[in-house]
Amino acid sequence: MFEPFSAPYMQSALLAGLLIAVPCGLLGVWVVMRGLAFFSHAVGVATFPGVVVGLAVPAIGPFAGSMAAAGAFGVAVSSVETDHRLHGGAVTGLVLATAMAVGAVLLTTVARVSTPVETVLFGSLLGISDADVARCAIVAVTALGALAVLWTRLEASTFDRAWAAPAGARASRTDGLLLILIGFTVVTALPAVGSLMVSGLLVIPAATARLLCERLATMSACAVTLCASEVVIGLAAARELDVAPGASIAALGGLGFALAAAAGAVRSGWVRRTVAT
Amino acid sequence: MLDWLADPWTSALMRRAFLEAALVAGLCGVLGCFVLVRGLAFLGEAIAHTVVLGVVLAFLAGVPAAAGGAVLAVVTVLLTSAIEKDPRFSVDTAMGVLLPSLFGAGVALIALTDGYRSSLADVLFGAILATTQADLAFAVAACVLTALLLALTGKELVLVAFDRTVAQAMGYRAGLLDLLLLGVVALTVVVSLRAVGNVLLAGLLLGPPVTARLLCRTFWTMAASSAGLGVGAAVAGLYLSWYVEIGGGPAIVLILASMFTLVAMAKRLTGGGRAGERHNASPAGYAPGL
Amino acid sequence: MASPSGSSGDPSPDQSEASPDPPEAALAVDRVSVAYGDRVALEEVSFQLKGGTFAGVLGPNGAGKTTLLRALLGTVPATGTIALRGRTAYVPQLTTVSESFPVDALGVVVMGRYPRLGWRRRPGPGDRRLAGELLDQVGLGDRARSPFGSLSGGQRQRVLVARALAQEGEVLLLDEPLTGIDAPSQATILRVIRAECAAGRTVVMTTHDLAQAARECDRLLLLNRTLIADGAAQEVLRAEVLGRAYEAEVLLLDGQAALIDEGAHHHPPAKPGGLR
Repeated sequence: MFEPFSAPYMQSALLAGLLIAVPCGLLGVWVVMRGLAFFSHAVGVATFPGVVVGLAVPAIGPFAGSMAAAGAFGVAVSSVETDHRLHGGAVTGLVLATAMAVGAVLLTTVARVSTPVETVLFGSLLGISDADVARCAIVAVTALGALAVLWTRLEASTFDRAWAAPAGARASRTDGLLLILIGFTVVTALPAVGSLMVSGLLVIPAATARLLCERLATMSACAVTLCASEVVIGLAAARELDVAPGASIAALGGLGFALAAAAGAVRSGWVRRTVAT
Repeated sequence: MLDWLADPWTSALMRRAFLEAALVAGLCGVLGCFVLVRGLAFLGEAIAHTVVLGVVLAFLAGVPAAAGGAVLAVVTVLLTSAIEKDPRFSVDTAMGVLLPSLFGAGVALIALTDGYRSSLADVLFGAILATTQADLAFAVAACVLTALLLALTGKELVLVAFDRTVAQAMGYRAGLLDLLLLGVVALTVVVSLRAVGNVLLAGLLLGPPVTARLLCRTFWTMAASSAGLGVGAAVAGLYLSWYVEIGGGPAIVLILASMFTLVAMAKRLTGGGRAGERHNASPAGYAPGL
Repeated sequence: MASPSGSSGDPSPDQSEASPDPPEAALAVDRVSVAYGDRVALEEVSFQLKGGTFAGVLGPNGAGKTTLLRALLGTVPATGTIALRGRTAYVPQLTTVSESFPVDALGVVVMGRYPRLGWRRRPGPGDRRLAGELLDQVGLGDRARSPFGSLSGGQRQRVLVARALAQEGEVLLLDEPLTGIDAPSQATILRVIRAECAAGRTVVMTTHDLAQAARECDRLLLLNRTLIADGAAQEVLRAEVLGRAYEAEVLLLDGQAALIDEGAHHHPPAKPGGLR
């Protein structure tokens, strides 16, 4: 069973994956309950040109590049967010398509990088360096610390913002901090799963956990466990089948969600009722 | 000067590309306006990604790619509906689950399929210069179908978008109209894959409408302007890609992004935009936030 | 003296500073005005409430009832002065609450302890015990472990009242807590409110049910952008007074006033996303 993980690079990948599963599972709970899936997807996609630049200019490096891109994305979207005519995510959609276009153009013109575009978009088992593992550890610890402080505010303001704000939950500040934490987690997970698939780590395990649990505490623990499991199995599958880890992990996550949904449907008698009619 | 303008047209590839780009951009420009006012940006983005699985499955099954794409688009809409009916989940979560999982499955399948792996970049970013007669025929058919649909139900679709309860009170089947609209959006996505690929699609579908929205006050002028802007950007983008040697899809999106930025900045500088709009009633049914 | 409130969203919950007003006034509002852009929602509203008072705020839709509560809570910017003795607990309208959040009834009441404990401390067994007792008080002790989303409207409202009680505030503000709620739940909530007043707390409740307010409240505040009337039911619920507040919607029948109710219909907000 542990054969896929005998190689050192796989052990790095495994360690990075297990570490990043903690913030992904815990933040994922809030992504699902606050409707931040589109935001998470968009941040992930927006890092693409930053990574391209970072790979082309070794002095910058992909991590700094992706951080800068994520930051630029936040500024670009928030500056048009206030216009009520353009609500519904349309500008976000344009921004993320533009980010991909910029990255693609850079790749074909000035940024001669040896890394194939697939790796940037879908992750790579070989592309996880020791520095990446260290970053996963740092983000895991930071997220745990920040969430320990923010947890009650998040809970109260997500459940009932009208009550929480006057009660002192500092709702707007909490919103902003959550988005920043998501940004950091997305950027750190990029080497493993790539820009296009990273939102899957945040959304799918937590959504599956929501199917299975009725209380916040159990849902959170379940989300972390599911995320870690999907990462481990997904990494092994990526190795055995020679596919990109981002793709295998996300596909696996979808399967897990489907199974949990099916189990719930059977349990609630939906199948019996449908068959009976 | 005339040489400069005429040069790309000497290439048969480019002529087909121009036609394809114009058709697709016009289609996206009009339908993108519905996507904008209904807040369906994430859905459009999700469908653009999940159809990849359908395209690969179609390749494996030996059926046309568009058929596979269309099936997956429909599946995506149905699954989104099913997940969103559960009170625990929002549309946002539904698509946050479906986009990575179905797209991931598609990408994994591409890696496992020998005949397909090399063209991943084409799937992602489009290959407009590889437009075939079949692609053009498909695009023309899609435009005709959409034009028919809009001629028959355009007013009703706009009514449902802006005031659903009134539309239902007037006897329109809002659910059916929704399905029609989503079906046409799905068709548009599948048709546009050739031109811009799936990761750039949101740019073509949303860029012209958001720019037009800043310039127009009524829906149909917005739709017409959006189509015009889209076609203009598509043609300009192809010129850009001819002379600068970048991909057609990325070039078009860059032009669209520049257009929007210029218009948005001009609006802000002239100060007319925001202040004027505050006094207009926001149409009911406008989706809030992200 | 508490200051004019700051920007919306994150006020300080504790406004218990010394006030030059008479010491018995638990809540003193002086010439408070609130404007949303060009629209004036409240204009020069002034009143004082002693501890133990149950005040009902009445008025047609759009009169500024909710705005008044928001001004008292500090979540909208207001000019004038607002002085509240002690902490404020709030029961917002039921429509603001997330029905699908993974929490049980007990968990909701425990959330009411967060402002009291400070937002960094986790509630302890004592807090959970208190929450259980409060649920008993509102008649939901046996539903403590039920998911909040599985409760009926009346049950949910009672849980939110229990949450407010858990905050242990001196002032209790409720926004239309009895609207659309089953009669037994209404009775329970009113019983709880009367108990709070007997213990010296001040309660302000907005409502559009005039008869109920007349029966239950010690003091009525009739609002329509300005404070039209302030006093006991006999003084406030008179035809000519009501006519000024409800503006030509009062129908007089044989000397008895009957109101044409224009306030009961509430459009639920359109569901975002557009797939429905």
